Amino acid sequence: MSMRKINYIISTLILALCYFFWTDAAGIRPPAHIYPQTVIAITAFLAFALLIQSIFFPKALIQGKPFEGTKYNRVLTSIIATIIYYFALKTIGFYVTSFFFIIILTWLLGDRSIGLKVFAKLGVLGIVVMGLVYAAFKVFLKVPTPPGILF
Amino acid sequence: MNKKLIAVLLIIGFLLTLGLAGCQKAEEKQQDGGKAEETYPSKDITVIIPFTAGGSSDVQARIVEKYFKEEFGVNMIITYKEGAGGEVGFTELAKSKADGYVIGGLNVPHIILQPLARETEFNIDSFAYIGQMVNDPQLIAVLKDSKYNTLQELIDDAKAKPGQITLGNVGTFSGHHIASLNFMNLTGTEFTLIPYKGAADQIVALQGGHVNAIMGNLNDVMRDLDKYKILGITTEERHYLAPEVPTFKELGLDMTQGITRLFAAPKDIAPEKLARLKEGFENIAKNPEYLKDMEKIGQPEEWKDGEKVYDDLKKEVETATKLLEEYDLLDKK
Amino acid sequence: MLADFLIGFQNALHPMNILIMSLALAGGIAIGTLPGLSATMGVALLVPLTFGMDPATGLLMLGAMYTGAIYGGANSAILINTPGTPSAVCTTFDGYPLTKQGRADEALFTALVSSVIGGVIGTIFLLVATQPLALVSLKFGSPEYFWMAIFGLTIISSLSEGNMIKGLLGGVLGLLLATIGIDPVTGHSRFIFDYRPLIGGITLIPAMIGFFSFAQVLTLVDENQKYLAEYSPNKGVIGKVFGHMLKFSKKNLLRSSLIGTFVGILPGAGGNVASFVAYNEAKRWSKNPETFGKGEIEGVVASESSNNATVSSSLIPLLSLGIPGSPVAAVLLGGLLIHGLQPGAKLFIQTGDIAYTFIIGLIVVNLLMLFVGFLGMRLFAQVLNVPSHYIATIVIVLSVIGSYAIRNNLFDIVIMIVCGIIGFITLKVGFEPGPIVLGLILGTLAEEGFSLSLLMAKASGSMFDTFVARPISAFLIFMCIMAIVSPIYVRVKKSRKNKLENA
Repeated sequence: MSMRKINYIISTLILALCYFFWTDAAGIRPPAHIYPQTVIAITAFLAFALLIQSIFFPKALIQGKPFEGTKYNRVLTSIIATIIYYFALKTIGFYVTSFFFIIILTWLLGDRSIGLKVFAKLGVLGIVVMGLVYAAFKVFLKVPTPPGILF
Repeated sequence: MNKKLIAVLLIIGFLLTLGLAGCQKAEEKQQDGGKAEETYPSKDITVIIPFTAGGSSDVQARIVEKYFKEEFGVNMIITYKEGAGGEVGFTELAKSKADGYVIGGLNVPHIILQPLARETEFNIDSFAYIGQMVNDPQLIAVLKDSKYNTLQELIDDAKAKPGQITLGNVGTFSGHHIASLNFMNLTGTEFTLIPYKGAADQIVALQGGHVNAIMGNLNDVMRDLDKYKILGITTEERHYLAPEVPTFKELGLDMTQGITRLFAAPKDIAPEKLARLKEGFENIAKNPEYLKDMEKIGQPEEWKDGEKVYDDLKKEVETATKLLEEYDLLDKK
Repeated sequence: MLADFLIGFQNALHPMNILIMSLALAGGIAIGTLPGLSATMGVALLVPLTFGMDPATGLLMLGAMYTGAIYGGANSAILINTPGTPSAVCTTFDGYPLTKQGRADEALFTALVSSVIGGVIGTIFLLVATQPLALVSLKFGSPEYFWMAIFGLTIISSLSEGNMIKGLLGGVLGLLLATIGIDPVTGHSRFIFDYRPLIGGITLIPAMIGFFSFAQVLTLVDENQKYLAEYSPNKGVIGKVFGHMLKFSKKNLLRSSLIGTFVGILPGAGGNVASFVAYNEAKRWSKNPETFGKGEIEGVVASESSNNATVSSSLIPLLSLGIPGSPVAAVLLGGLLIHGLQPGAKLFIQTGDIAYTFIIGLIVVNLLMLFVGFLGMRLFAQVLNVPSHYIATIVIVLSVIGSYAIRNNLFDIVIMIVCGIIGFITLKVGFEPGPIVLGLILGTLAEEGFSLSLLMAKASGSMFDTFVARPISAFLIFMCIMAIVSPIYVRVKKSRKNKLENA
């Protein structure tokens, strides 16, 4: 995808966002509506300006294909792992989930070699990191962590 | 291929743990409802404070914490759930498990006004009230060198120039706001109300001369009494922390208004547990050491039992609704 | 007063106090370094510990924690492009590029020295000019805050590297995000689109962790390099940094520290606003502004000296007027009250020994930080010897717990993840996270300033009187105009010069 096309998409998305915000802002009692409506108007104006710039002054844009070479596999793996991690820690508890998360994601992002040694190493990593986090957060700082049934 | 298989296995294992954990949780819940524990409390009690660490509610809770262990034999663990003027924390408490191990601090009139102002997931019936510990009365204050010397002078001037005198508040749909509305309603005046974000901003605005007067809390002006003139205080009788200040009643205005801090549990708490909490908090509230500490932090203490609190809340909801309708501040839904 | 001063001097140097301050500093630096754990939280957590202490010692401990936390944010900002505290956002702009160039220890040490100097300058003002500065802070009403926020927004134009329109768009989108939640004037909810959890609004810290930390993790994962950057400890780094600073940074240090001191006294603004303003001014006055954002040591100097200068000056309204001007000051107020100390002018009169012990102690804390921070720096720099996929995972765990811990709210984790994903995509297409976060920081300030001024204008009957005809407002308006005009002027001048040279 070229920068030009991307800019079209972005401006359209932002204009749509402005539309939703504007309809919601219509219900705000005066004079509190002035500020948000002004901000929305400026946002819409700038999104429109970006559209105009992309159509008529393509030279002003950085050329090239921003998404070229993106390693979608790795990025998506991380995002999905984090989302699963979020739902799991809600039910299971922060420490146990984080331990597994560290092992699994580090393995997935590494060279994915298999062997007792590799997993032992990851296990040690998980224990050490979570030990430190536990010491810092629970013992020293007494910061509450998301509760769950395990730990 | 092999690698992928292992990855899949790992994920399945992980999900299984998740599922197992879920079942366990369900079991735990059942057991909990089954039979009442013999001794309550048998583990630490979490107290939800719906404001930031270091705020007035927190400082007061910290004082309670000092005496909590002695009274209940377990620790009190303060958890902050701030956001949306306390709403996030109130909602959290209303939805908490009513096993007696989660209680929370509530502020009045916040819990009355928020459900009126917008859709909320709690109202005053969502809680079982333990008791009220602080009653911080509202007052009207001006700067020391202000031209107003009495409340009457301020009222007269406001009548002469409707809308031109500014009165600083903290927040909208807050104790300050409702007190100001009540004041304007009773005196037939019209002030321009300026809702500051917090008490600190309000005090800065007053000291810097950006507002003409403030509807403030006793606790906030106590620290520098010699900088202000307090024109009147909204209590039944003269207040023990500021005995020289006339009450609104003496000045012929029938209003008493304050911000009160109470402790409450989720609605469905077992009656015997609630009774234990009430007893314990009352003991703390009457402990002379506690009272000394409260005086140090300048928060006007006033114990009120949970049942009385609830009765008064119901009355307050009515008056507040009427007042807000009169000023057309409720969204018609 | 002199007697109190001397007692304070003696107390502050008591070995026990020095020990406690060092420990609190180390804790503070750790808290600051971890994304999501804020200075406010660190100080609040220590308050109960002070109950059993002598008040002066307790206060010194809190002060050391505060100082350490504000400085600590620089470490993670420089090493992994993740500001540990909002005040360190500007430190990432040049700190991380320096790390990429293999100059991590130079950047880290510069940040440390600048923080110490900023902190000392701020504290000197706290010592000698408390009352006058407190009076200045009172002069700031809603209209002044509004103009200050607008002035802050003009910084975007100098922040946006590539496409100016995209930079501005990022800024206004930040402003728009900040409006979600409860309307500060009417008390009704807005822009939550019937989605309950949004009622608490998009808070700065989870969003910042998302836009910087999580987005950075995704970038790391995408780059797929074995290590973050090359790093080999540089023996002569101390001499090099001191040499550079003595030669080139004196003006920048002084200017940034003064900006920090001044912004710090204003309730509502803080280290985050101060560092943006200082960074912008450093760039404006620099002879080679084009190097900023690409690994310019002076950028680190400006950001770090200004944010640590706010530490002491943010206590000025508290100590002299009894008004807690910042979240940390609010926590300190609680601590003071529990000890039976009355903040405000009385603090200096009735309990002068404690007040001066505290203030002089803050200078000692800053000097101690040079040593404690140096030890920590060595340790933190080891991060660069850890394979980057390990770092990526660990930073995700820290981001999650950090966003949760700020309000104990699971929804904040969602905000963090969503902002991270958006941040990763937008970074690819030319939106920098800096303007977005700046918009978020200034959004509430701008709106409140505007709406309350509007109400004031209604009462006084004149928009002009309220918004413009006030000395500080007029000055800030002038600054805004300058901020917009001067880059254009410089550009025109430059192109003319180029033409002349070419001709």
